[in-house]
Amino acid sequence: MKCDLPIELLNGYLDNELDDEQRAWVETHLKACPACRDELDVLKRIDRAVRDEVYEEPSSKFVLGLNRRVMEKVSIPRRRSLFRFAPVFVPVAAAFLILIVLINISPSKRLVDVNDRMFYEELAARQEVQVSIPEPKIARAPISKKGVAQADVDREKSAPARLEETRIAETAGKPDMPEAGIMAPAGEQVVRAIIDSTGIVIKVATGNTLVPEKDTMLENELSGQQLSPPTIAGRKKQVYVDFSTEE
Amino acid sequence: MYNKVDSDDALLESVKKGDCDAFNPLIERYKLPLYKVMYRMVLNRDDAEDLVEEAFIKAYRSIKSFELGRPFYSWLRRIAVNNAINFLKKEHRTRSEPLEAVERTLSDKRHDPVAMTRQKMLKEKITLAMEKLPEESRIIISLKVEEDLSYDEMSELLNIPKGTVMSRLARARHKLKKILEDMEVP
Repeated sequence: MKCDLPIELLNGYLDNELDDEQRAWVETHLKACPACRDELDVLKRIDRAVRDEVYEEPSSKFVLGLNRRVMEKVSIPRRRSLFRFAPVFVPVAAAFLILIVLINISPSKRLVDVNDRMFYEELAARQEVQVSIPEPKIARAPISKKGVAQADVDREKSAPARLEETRIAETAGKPDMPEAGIMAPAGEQVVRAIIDSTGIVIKVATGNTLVPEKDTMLENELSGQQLSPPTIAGRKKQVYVDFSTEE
Repeated sequence: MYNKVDSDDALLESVKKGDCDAFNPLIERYKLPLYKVMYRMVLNRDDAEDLVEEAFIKAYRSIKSFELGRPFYSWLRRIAVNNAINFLKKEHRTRSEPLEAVERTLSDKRHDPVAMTRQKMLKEKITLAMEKLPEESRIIISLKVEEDLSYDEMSELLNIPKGTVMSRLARARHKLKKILEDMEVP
């Protein structure tokens, strides 16, 4: 078709779906446009041909047996699917899953992964955590700083403790002092603190053994101290921080 | 017992009350018209028969939701057409049979193509052309031609706006015409 008559209008005319005004307009156009008249003829012939299209007759099985098959199937009670419990089961399962997730992200219940730890230098460079911790009561002499990061320590009369090396990793399943994989070398002075995911100090231990012991006094002093929330891989996490010092 | 003169509503009222025998005359009444629609949509006898059976079963099982006084066949056809559309979507994903194979199958049925009359050839070419049409186009042409539905009825049945029906049908006919021209059908 070469003219501007929209094909939809021509089809609408063929199907008798136009209003009076449209119909009159198309009829006027058709009188003046042989191309559209031809097109209309073609569409009519195609419709006729489709209507007369050969189609396979249904099988005798269908013609004679459909009623029986349908009635047989509808008289058999449908197998009760487990999905019928979906309205109850799905919300309960969803709530359970949410609970599991909440428990797992709860700082006090998190499973430890000692391999998933980071060096303080890296964190400090990213300004993700700024740790200030007083020198432990049992600290010895002022300590030289080897690492990049430094926590200013100002406690009583002790000199500022300097961080030699700080390691941060996820904490154990309970907020207790982690051991495996992060033990300080024997003889080194260790201050180890657990900082929750919001940056609050919740446990402190000190010592110069492989596993530091709970330091109640220092803990009382530091508990509740607000630090920048530590993050690992972009997620706020409860971490432990080791402040290994050397004499 | 029920017979051919019972109205759809009278039968459906009995079915709703639990008399499943009253459903038989309805199956008898509508199985062939429904088969024709299904066949035009899926172009395969076995699939069309299965779809009809499935539509009746679904209709029976959801008969309680049917409002007496409304046309039963339209409701049944809607169930069947939706089934067929879903079937075609699945079929489209899994179909591997190339069109040439369909063509070959049809050719095999012609024992002597040369002897065929022009009209017969045209009809078979129409069948092939319909097979080549996209499903969406085939469905809308089938509903228009087989059921002679109005644009409003197709709009309701396919759950698309009337304007979409109009443009989809126009495009479908245009495509069919092109296919036939390519097949050198006069």
